[in-house]
Amino acid sequence: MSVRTFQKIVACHDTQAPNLASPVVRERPILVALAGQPNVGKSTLFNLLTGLHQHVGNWPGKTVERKDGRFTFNGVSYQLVDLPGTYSLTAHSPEELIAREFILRERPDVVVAVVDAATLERSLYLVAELLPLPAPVIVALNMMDVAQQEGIQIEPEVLQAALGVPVVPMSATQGVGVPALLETVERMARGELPYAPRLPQIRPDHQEVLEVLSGQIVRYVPEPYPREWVALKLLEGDSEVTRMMREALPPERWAAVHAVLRAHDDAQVAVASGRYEWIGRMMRAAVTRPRIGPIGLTERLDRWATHPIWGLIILVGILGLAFWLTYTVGAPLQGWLENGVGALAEGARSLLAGAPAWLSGLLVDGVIGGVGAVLTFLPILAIFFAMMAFLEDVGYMARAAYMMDRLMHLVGLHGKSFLPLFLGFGCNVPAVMGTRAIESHRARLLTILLAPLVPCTARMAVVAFLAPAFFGDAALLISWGLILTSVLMLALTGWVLNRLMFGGERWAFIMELPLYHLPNWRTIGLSVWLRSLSFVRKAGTVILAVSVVIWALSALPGGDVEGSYLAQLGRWLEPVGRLGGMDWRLTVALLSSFVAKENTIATLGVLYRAGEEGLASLLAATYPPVIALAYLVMQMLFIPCLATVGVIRQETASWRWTLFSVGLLLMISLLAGIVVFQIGAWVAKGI
Amino acid sequence: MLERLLEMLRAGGTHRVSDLARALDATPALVEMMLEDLARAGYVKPVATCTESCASCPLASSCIPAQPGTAWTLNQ
Repeated sequence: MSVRTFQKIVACHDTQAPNLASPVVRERPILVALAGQPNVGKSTLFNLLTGLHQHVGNWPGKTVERKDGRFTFNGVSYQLVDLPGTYSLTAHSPEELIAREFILRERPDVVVAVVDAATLERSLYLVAELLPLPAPVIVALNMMDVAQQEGIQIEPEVLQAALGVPVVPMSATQGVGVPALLETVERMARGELPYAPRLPQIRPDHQEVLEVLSGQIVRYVPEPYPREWVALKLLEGDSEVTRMMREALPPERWAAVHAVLRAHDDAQVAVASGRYEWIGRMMRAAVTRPRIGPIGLTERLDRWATHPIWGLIILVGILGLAFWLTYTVGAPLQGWLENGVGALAEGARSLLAGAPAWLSGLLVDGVIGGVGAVLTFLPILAIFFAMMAFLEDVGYMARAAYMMDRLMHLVGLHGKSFLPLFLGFGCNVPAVMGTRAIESHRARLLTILLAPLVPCTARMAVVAFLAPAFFGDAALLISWGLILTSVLMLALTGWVLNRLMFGGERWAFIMELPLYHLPNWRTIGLSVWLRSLSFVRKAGTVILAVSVVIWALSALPGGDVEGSYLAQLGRWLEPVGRLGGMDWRLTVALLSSFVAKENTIATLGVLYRAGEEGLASLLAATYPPVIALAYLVMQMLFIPCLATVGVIRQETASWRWTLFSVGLLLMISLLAGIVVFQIGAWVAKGI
Repeated sequence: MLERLLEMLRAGGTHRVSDLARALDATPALVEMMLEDLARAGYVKPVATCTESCASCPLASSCIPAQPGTAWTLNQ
């Protein structure tokens, strides 16, 4: 701040001494109202001007704080009233009513509209509402220093010419421009400045309506309200003005006014639209925004990342890169861990050599074989989690979701489904819960039915383990294809259900994407740690319990897997599984994923007694690629886990829809698996 | 301008605020303001973000809040 300026003003407050250099004498002080939206520096300016000479109370009949104060500057006395901070002057809140009633009733000599130069659009809306009121307005263009720091260039003279009212650039916190503001206020109060505000206009057809209304209310508008302003507010649907005129007009005249208003119920948008056009013109005339820095970089990157074609190619590329890195770095680590688990199983078997066979089987084949197999892919998961956390943290995942949403719209899917389905990539449970934001029952139901088709982290983890086990170097391509298949099935199912349930209605959805920024490694590290911990906990509880049950069913009654209860169940289901190329082991493993997706691996680990040898190599040796691919497709599209089904029941409050969801997904996964297997087998035969 | 924005939304589809701003020759901040205005008038509605729906998620504690910015949808 200019210290001298501040001291000069404060000295004036403290002493109330007239400045002899400008011996102006007025009968009453100049009444100045300070208007502005919250956080534009209005209070700073008020405190700077009034110092200790301020009075704080409440507005009559309201709990809204009223501040007014007195000061002298250049020998002129001022009374300053700090109006409540408001964004507009429509009767939405007590603050807005107080501000406009003060200006209308007290008719201040000058209204100083304090605007934030850094967010000028927001402030100008209030200015657009102040200009039609019967008090001259001066725009105090505050926070010019902040705007300059942000690279925003504003030309106050151009803005002044465009607005038709004085504009004074200033910075209240630094005291810059305050004397110029006060001099302008004084000259305005004396009538020494030209004042020809350019008001916002409304569409010509609504202008005619405005004139009709104005004619109908003539002679009935209570003092001190200006007729044109009342007509505009009536057209805008202002509740207070409507109430006032309903009471002021004779019933037959009110009926006529009401009929005009009813015939133009879109006028509210038209009036506001005129103000926005006006703001747009002012901004285009006087403001230049920076094209460099984070906003410019984000825009440049988004030109590619959200391009209809390039955006998809980039999305596919980034997904592929994430899987490639996961496998390249994670696979050797997983191999070492598998050797470690094998050694542990061998050690346990030696240790338990003298123990009963069932105990050795339970611990080595059940616990180590099941839970151990699942835990071996912890490195792969941790790397995958790190990739996802990185993409989320730098802001790319929002772009990925945007591209996904565009795809969904292409098939006519509900835009409101976007966020819940987006959550589904983490876990299907919050995806189903997230549909609460959708008020339409049918739209909500559709989203709930589709949510399980979003590949959740657990499904992707299963793919991350099984794809390299089955396909080695081709795992990357297979993983990418599986995720693409899930998304395409989601789109296809959505398209069909949308047409069946919604008749192909279209929806609009608007979003803003966050700025790209450098990754915060601590946030990413924490996310990976917590997600990995959550996975290990799951391995120690649900997966452990299922492994033990699966082992028991595979060991009873005689200890032989082939003659076990589980084998009997699997063989009973095998005819269905065979259509998709699955033997009874794969069928049972798929079924066990109903409890938790990772159980597929645990079950295969138990059934193949994978403790010492390592599950990946056993699976690769057992199943040809065509069966493996059909199995992975079925696994990706299979009914969701028990927790998700439970939430579907809770959210639909219907067993019918829950069973429909389960049946639908069962059908989709089986059909997809059968198609893949049959085509694969046919192609293999041809070769 | 508000009317043109409403027309664009009624045509359906997914829009970014910055794209709407470009089409309307306005700034993104002005479009945000118009959306808030349309929300007050009941034409659009802000979409609820990850709050209660995340409470049941086993990954909630480790989730980076990957909110895709402010989102709005057209009221039916």
